[in-house]
Amino acid sequence: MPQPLDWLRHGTWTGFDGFRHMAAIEDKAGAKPSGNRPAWPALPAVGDLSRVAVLIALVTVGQYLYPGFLSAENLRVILTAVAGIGILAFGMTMVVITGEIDLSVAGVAVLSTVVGGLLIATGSPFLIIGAVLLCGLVLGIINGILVAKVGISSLISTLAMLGIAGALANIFSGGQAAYPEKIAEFMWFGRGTVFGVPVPIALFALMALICLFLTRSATFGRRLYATGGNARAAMLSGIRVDRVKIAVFAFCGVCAAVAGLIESARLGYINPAAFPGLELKVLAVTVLGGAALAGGTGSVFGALVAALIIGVINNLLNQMGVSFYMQQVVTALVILVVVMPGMKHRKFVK
Amino acid sequence: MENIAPILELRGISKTFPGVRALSNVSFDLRAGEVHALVGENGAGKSTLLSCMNGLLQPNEGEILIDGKQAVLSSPSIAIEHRLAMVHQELVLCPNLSVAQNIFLGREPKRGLGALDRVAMNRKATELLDMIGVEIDPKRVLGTLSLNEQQIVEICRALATDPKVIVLDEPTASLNDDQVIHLLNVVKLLKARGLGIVYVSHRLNEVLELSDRITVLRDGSVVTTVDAEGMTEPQLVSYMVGKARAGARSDFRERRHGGVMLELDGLSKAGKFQDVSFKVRRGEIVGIAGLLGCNREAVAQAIFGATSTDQGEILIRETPARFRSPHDAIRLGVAYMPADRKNEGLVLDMNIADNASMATLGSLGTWGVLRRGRVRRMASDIVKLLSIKVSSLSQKASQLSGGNQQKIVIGKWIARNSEIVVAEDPTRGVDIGAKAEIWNSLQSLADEGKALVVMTTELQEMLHVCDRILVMSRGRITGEFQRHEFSAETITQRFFA
Repeated sequence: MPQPLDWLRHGTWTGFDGFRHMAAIEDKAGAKPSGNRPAWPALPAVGDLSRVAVLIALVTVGQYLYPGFLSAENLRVILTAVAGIGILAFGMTMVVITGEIDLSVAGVAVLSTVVGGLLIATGSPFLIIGAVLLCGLVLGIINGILVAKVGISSLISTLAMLGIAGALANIFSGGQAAYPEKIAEFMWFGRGTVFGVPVPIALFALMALICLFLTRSATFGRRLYATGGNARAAMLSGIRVDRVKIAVFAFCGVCAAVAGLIESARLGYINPAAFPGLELKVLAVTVLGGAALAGGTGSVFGALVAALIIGVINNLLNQMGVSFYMQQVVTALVILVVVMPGMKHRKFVK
Repeated sequence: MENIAPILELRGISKTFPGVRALSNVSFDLRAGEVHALVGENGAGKSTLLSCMNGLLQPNEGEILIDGKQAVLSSPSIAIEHRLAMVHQELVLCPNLSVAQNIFLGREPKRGLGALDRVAMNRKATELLDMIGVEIDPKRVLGTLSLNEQQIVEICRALATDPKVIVLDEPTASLNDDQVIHLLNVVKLLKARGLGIVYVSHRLNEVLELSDRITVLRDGSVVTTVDAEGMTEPQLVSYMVGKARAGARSDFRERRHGGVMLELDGLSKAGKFQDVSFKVRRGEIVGIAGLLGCNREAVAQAIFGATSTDQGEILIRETPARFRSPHDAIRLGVAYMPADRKNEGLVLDMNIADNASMATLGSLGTWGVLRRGRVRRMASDIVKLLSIKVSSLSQKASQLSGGNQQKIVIGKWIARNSEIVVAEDPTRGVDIGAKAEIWNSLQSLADEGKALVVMTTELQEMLHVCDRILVMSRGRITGEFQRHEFSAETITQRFFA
């Protein structure tokens, strides 16, 4: 007679006598199995749906005010503008799900691209782009080790990394911008297309898919949420919490490098003083996406929608001719309005 | 007693949550100077009823009368204005503040210009502490107090609001026997001062000793309200569980013991335990008994690799093992069920399926891709196997009762098929029916040839299910008893060796 959970144990399972006896008792008692409903909702969570609703509303308003709003050209503008920050928000969301924070993203993005810029003279695109990505990865791993192994709070260690990386970028470059125009492969990240889609948008989509896979479909995702939800319980269940944290910081570092690559290629030069205050913008998108800084909650899908909301708002305000500073006020207010109702519910949940 | 008007009366209270009727037509009343106990299994509706009393939840139907006048308790602060105070099961205090600061948190005595009056605060705190006959320095930092002293501070905090009714939700759940006696004396004192006390506890002996009347809840309804005098424990249990499940308990089963699965050889950790050696065979349940502070938990954590050791060896299947983390121990087939399941056993914000699969993620995926079908199937198998009461697998772990939460923790390790199981207080805060079920499932693990190490605060439970009991005192093993030698007296004597 096949026993419950036999199937899970492959060939190693030897017997289940005790529970055979128990199962019989429960059958008599008429205990009803209650596992019929799926363990995960097939649709995004309610919070995500409300964000989607906000996005649809904004798009509708945009199309109503400016008939060209939904044109391919304008969509291209919107998406290209948010690709970098969106990719960063994916990495940040995963860090925040584990209950940590990465304030170093701007520094990592700058230092990685500057390191790439130093190699422009070699003329090897492989070397340059490889160096940018590797630098992001290494800085991310250092962040992760400081947090998970050394035990420094991520708020402090990544703040230090932000300062150090930003300063190193200036030291290495002598404060001078580098110009990668001649490296076509580098420029491709900002200005090229794949199948007619601009590369920043394609990368944004690709990173979204990777992150959605990692958080929703990979066993890694379960470890991520368990680590953020209750690190001690996760550790006592055999999840190597330190490795999970190092992995997300490393991933966030790579996201920063990719975003830096996209942005400097779009601008056409590598600026050691680029992206001031970027970490807070990324954090804003992350929070708008529904991630709680306490850890354990948040979704990449939410971050994706949040990035789009920010892109649509900025685009609309641009078209209305609203000043740069007023745009920041409006964006901040939208974040407050969207985030507030979610917080009310959270208040009573431990 | 008949003509004394109740100071608190609940009439026909009903409360529904989406899909669940938590309370239906519950009536309850409390007189001044009375202890009225509320008993029932986990999930019977006690917590919901208490929440209605202290304004955390509003009933859908029914009315609440205070001193005969109808009252709407729309928030905990309004309940306090109506002189209803609540002492929560889990301490809600700030460990970093002093005793006096905790007692007057949010209601600090003030002088002109809103300046804090520390002198008055400490004096009033001392008065309150004196009133219930305990000597605690009000200036001490709360975190340095023992658990039962903290519990008493929590009661003082409630008393500081000058209540007429005080609700005690399982005040003794985490206390040892001596501390319980002390706490019961405090409750008697409050009663003598004319307060009405609603007392919720799973420990029926203390309920019988303390209360004047007892109301039994089952499945959200009142089964009966009886005078405590003349009541017996078995009678109460039968009210609580209903006829069908009365007498539920896990009977000891004879088993054949196999080879040695786990051996500790002279294991020591400075300041925690010294020279701990014992063996556990297949099919054997070994209990470790001892007082609070005997550090048996540290031994349990060492077996699981959650804490380091200085000397000695752990042998798994007669091979020395080194654990750098629980991960290593789990790979060698060790499972650990922590006493503090909410903080260490579960991720409360995650759903049942995710919690149950936490220790088995590796085998639930293919190349790192989670197979949700397998997770669901595993979780629903566990739910069936351990008859866990859930509404769906996507229910959050925080929404389950203590017994069902514990079953999820057990299920997590059953799925892992761990050969060595270390269970710390597996029945803590769990009702009688669930207790029997939990011991049944742990015995079933032993029946299959797994080696179990268990430690409970109540010696009786271990006497009932263990093959062998070791006694620990101040970090050393001070006695070993085979099943035929079991006697509560002789074992307890070794506690003080």
